[in-house]
Amino acid sequence: MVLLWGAPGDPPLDAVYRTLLRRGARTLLVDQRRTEGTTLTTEVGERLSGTLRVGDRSVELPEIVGIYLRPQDRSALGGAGDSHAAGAALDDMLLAVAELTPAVVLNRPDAMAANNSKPYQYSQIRSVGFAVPDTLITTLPDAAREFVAQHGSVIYKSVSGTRSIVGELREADHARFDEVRWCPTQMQERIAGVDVRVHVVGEELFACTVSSDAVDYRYAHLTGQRVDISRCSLPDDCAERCLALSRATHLPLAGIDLRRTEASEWYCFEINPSPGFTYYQQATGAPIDVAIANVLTG
Amino acid sequence: MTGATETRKRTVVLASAADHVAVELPERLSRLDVVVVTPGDLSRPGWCYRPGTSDWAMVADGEVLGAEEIGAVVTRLPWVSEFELSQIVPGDRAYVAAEMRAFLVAWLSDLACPVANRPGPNCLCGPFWRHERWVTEAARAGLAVEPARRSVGSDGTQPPPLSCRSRVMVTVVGERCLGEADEQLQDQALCLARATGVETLTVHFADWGAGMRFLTANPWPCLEDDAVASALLDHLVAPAPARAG
Repeated sequence: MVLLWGAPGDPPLDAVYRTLLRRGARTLLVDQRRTEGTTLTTEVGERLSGTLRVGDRSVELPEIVGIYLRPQDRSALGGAGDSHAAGAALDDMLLAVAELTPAVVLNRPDAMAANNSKPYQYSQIRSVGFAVPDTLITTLPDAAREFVAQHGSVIYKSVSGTRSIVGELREADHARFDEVRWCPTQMQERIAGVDVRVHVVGEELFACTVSSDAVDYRYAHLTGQRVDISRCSLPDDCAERCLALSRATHLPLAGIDLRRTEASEWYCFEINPSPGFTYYQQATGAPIDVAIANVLTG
Repeated sequence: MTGATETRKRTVVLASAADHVAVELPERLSRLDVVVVTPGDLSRPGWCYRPGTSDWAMVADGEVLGAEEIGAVVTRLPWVSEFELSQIVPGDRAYVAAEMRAFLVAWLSDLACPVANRPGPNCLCGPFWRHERWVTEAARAGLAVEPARRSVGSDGTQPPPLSCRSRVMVTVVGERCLGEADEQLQDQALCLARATGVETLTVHFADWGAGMRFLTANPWPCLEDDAVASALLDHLVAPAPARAG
């Protein structure tokens, strides 16, 4: 049995669900928006046991071979009172199951948490041989000024996964340097080159180039800027590093953001543990949902 | 007038400003030159950190300190709460709290000096695990455990709580165990601390009628106890050699 957990209407969840149903895989979907009629009991000692019931279907936890997690922030799903509390309790128990089950989990919550600190990820990224842009995190306005003077072209972005939009530091922003004193602020040298997005699914890789005039192509639609996505291949050493990064971070499903410079250096900016892969799949035709279904069903 | 003296390194305790036990530590353990860092210090100019390098500076109690001045760090702060950021406009507090936590996770993980405990990606004090995960880790480490049972669903029935006859607590600091437990339980606690890779761990055992079994554990240093606080800070300054076994 494969367990899917999230809110239907979420494109990656829907794509994997459809693929599993098409191939006739035994699949159970836990809909975060409809938790009435869902019960879960667990007992944890040396092993995890218990029963998950969704409507009139139930599964013993040891029968689950794969779990795909796409839980949404419950506060964004609406609902209140008892149903909200019951939903939150179910979320917490499913996270515990995802941590402890011997099944394949895409991805385990503990491993995904590293994405909440970008600089924490840098040490993981460096460990497999990718370059990371020179980075400063500071509350000292003069240090920020010196960093900009050193590199000329600099971007700023969140340290955490919150409001994680990359912006270019422009001349007009220099008047705001004094504001960094309120909170550690992250700046990076700007690396010129071609964006490459790599999806790792188990031992499979799907790479594409992304061309855009936007500093952060993920938000190009907000400014009406174009984005062109084309499937590409990776040099062997880069592909090896992507697989090594997936293993080192315990993320068998990952969206890795790379940039290739004119000198063919490979920089890595971050590794996304819950990639919205359908955006890239639609543009390239890469069968990422099929690869995910393969991993989940073993 | 004295001649050249070696600068004594300071021990940093990262804690909430509301954590009186931590805030009073510099006075309680004055011999160790302890300085406390609270989330408010992260809104002061002076922090500089370049990930992957040993080039950093921090702010403690308003004073800017360089890497060469710090000998060890103790973390008593699991995360940064937005409620502790009154200096930030209300609409930005949750965001700033997330940024500060993300910064501290990376900085503490990168420090070359001893840190108790090194943060996990979701907790500044070490592993932040659900009860079920602690039970699993304890069972894997060979401890006798009482299974963790939970239930959620339409009838809302929870398994009835078991009442225990007695409880005992062991605090592991490096290779030492502090507390009233017998040697066997101390060895078990040490075994769990080693298996989970922490410098300090508080382990609770309980007897439900079949002898002492693992109940729960947490990685926050128990600094309320003078013996634990002294042992931890001494351990960080000069770690004891590993025990056999």
